[in-house]
Amino acid sequence: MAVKVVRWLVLLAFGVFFLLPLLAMAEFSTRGAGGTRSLDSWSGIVTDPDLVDAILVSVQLAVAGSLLVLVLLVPTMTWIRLRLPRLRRPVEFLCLLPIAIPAIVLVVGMAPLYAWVDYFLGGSPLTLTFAYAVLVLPFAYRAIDAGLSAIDLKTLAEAARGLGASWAAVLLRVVVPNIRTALIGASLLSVALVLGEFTVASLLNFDTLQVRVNLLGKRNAGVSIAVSLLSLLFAFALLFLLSFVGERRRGAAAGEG
Amino acid sequence: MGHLELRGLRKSFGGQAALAGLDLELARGELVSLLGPSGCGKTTALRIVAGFETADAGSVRVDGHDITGVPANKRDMGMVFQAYSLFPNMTAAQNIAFGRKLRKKADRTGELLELVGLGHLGKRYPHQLSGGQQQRVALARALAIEPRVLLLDEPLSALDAKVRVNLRDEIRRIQTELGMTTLFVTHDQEEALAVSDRVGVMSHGRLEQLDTPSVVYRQPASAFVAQFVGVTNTVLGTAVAGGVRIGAFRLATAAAEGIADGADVHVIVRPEDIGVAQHSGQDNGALVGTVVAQSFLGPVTRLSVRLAGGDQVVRVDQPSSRAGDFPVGTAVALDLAAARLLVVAV
Amino acid sequence: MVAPVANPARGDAAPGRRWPAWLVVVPFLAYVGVFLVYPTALVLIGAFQDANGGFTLDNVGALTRGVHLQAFLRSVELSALTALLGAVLGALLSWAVAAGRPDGLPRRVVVAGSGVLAQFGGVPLAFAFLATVGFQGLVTQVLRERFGVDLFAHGAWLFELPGLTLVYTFFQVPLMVIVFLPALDGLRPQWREAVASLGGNSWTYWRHVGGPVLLPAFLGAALLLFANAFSAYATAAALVSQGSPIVPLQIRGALTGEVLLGQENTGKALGLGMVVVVAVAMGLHALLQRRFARWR
Ligand SMILES: Nc1ncnc2c1ncn2[C@@H]1O[C@H](COP(=O)(O)OP(=O)(O)OP(=O)(O)O)[C@@H](O)[C@H]1O
Ligand SMILES: [Mg+2]
Repeated sequence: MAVKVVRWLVLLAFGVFFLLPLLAMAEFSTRGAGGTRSLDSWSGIVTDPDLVDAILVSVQLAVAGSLLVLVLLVPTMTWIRLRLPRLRRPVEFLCLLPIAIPAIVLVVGMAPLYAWVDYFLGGSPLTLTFAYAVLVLPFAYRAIDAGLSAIDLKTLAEAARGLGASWAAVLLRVVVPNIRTALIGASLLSVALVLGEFTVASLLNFDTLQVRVNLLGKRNAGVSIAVSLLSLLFAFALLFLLSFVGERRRGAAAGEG
Repeated sequence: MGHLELRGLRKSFGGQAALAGLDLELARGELVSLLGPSGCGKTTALRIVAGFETADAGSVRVDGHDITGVPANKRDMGMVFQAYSLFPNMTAAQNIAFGRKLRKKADRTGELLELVGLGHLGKRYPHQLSGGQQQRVALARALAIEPRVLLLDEPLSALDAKVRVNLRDEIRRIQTELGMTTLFVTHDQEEALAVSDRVGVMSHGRLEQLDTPSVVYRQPASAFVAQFVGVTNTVLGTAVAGGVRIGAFRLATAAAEGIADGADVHVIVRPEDIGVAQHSGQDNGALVGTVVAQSFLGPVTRLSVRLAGGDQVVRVDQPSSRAGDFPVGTAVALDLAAARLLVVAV
Repeated sequence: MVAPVANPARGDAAPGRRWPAWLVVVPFLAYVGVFLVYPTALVLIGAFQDANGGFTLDNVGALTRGVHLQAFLRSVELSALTALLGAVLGALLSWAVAAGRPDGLPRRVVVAGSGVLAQFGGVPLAFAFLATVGFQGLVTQVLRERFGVDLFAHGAWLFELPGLTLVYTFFQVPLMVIVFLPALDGLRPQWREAVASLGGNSWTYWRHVGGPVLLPAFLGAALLLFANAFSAYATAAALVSQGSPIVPLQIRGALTGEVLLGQENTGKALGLGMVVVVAVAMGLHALLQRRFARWR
């Protein structure tokens, strides 16, 4: 029983440590003039056109980035498991490489590259999608790899081929539905990562949510803090959702067993 | 007085009764199996004896001393788990030495490794051992502390058939050699019958029957025991004065005593207790049927006989040398005269 | 594994497909080649080039002296300290979470919250601490007005290394939870029970089984935390706007500031240095991880 008490004390202590800053953000962002409470900082989020633009850019980047990484990875990883097992290690290495190369280093090499991207595709902030797909590569790879490991890909694909399905049909109608939860997991994680990304965007001079928040903080900390709190809560909601997605998969697996 | 006694053990998990009054007594040096279907409470009983679980009611005694309140680490019970219980960071030898070291007793690891036939593998880590070898080490580790009672929870169920048979015989040999009082949990009836002094058949948290393997097999106390232990036929019939009627066949037996005439009954009989002969064709009041399938089981061949005038199928064992006399399609008469029967009202 | 009947290099003999099997992976390889391998190579090679593209060791040599060396030492110190704090505190929190029900609310909240703070953190975390212990922060104000304590009596610590240590710990602990919780879950209840039946108590268990089994996972996680703190940029960038006490901020300086003649590739050399440090930490991490996996 003493263990139980210690456990709850530990949870409580960490709860205070982690919730205090969030509480402080809520308090700070609702300060008005002369010790009053006001929601000006919060309404400031929607009345600042630059901030709204930046938010829209980030949302589009989040969607585009996670789509791009799925489109790149799912066919490749499926195909490698089915027909090119020798490529599995090298591809895994490439996918996990961004863990060993800090974003701040990658951006040094990307700066010249983006001069070319700018030249060919124009200076739209949406071109950041390319960089972001690289940043989320390791996380998406792990999620999809776990999904593919959980199904008997070879048998499924052979059965579908035996019934006359084309490779495209195998991918879209057999593989994708069967690793759906892994794909959802990979996407949610990618979305969260892109929405929080600052390093690459700021050093390549693109106006994304985090860049704008940082800039805004210099003159109006209240709004920055409000947006920060909002984005933290949003990411929390995403990941909380994710914990149930994993659950459903485990439940389904147990039901089949 | 038994060496190990369980008295009126009760335990429920969230309103669901896992043990509903379990009584059991083991004599010194005896090996008793707890046998029963999944979820009947075998593991729960064992864990209460080991001290990992506390009973809602009832007591556990060793040599007459109540140990119900004694914590697990003061009980001196040797426990072997189903699988994966070896400490992964220690070699086989270190695993075995662990308990004696805690007790500051002289090291006997070499001797114990020999006892379980692993003299040469002491330096291996668990992940370098096969499943069977791991369980041998687990057994040696449990025996090392010279426990008062040895507890085995399905120690063989994760192994393949061949290893399982070898190891179970070995466990029995060692247990007999050391005269170790042992409680052995299993859901494999063959295993239980093969190694035990007595078998306790459990269902829904209590004992259905506790007796020697041959009595449990030959004189099952209930339909449940008969059906769970060994292969049985369950034939639907009707109780009549002085016996039962199956279709047109009348069988005189004392087994149906006490059941009201006209009641539906199940006649429970083992395949090897049924005699079989080719049927001449004329109706002489015998239980007749047709062979619809044969399956070869080595020394015996099992015939499936569909009874005339219905779709009940009875399995009958014949020495394989005689099976050629009853090809599929043969009309046969079944002889239940010498069979031990159990008749229960439906 | 059963080898495919058809020669994979030549492709499937099935009618209707005339293209080679490796064609499918070309888009992926091309993409990764352009957006991952090329920029990486640019940094690693550029670190050894002078302004005209000739080979030189000057850039790398500069890392061993003066401000760059100091930045590396400071970065290592900050990362090691927060990795240690994060690992110990995170292990404690993991234990508190793992001891509860696997589908319980505390666990769900802690896991999701950890994901946010560990991976999403960045700029919002900097602002979280501004709101808490900044000049106008909630705690700062309460301490000043109620208790007469001035948090900034000894300087603007929040915007220097002590501040970074505090904020980094704030995301290191959650990362530890994410990587260490699965290891704790890997401890089998049978081990604890086996220790008990052999006569040991809870302390015996942790001392002889639980501790040693978890040690590789713990050290591996600490290395991961080190690499994580060493690579982190956003929080520091948002918090520290003057000076470049740590390596990532020096790279920012090299990218955005005016570059001295003959030092065009200093940023790349700094990048190379970071990659080397992170690679060593991650390599050791992978080794330890493999060792732990074998035990499960
Ligand atoms: N810790 C627990 N929490 C909740 N229910 C439990 C727990 N342990 C056992 N039960 C329930 O108690 C009943 C008996 O379980 P027990 O493990 O003793 O069965 P068993 O006879 O060993 O079965 P098996 O052959 O499957 O091992 C089952 O219905 C089981 O679901
Ligand atoms: Mg059990």
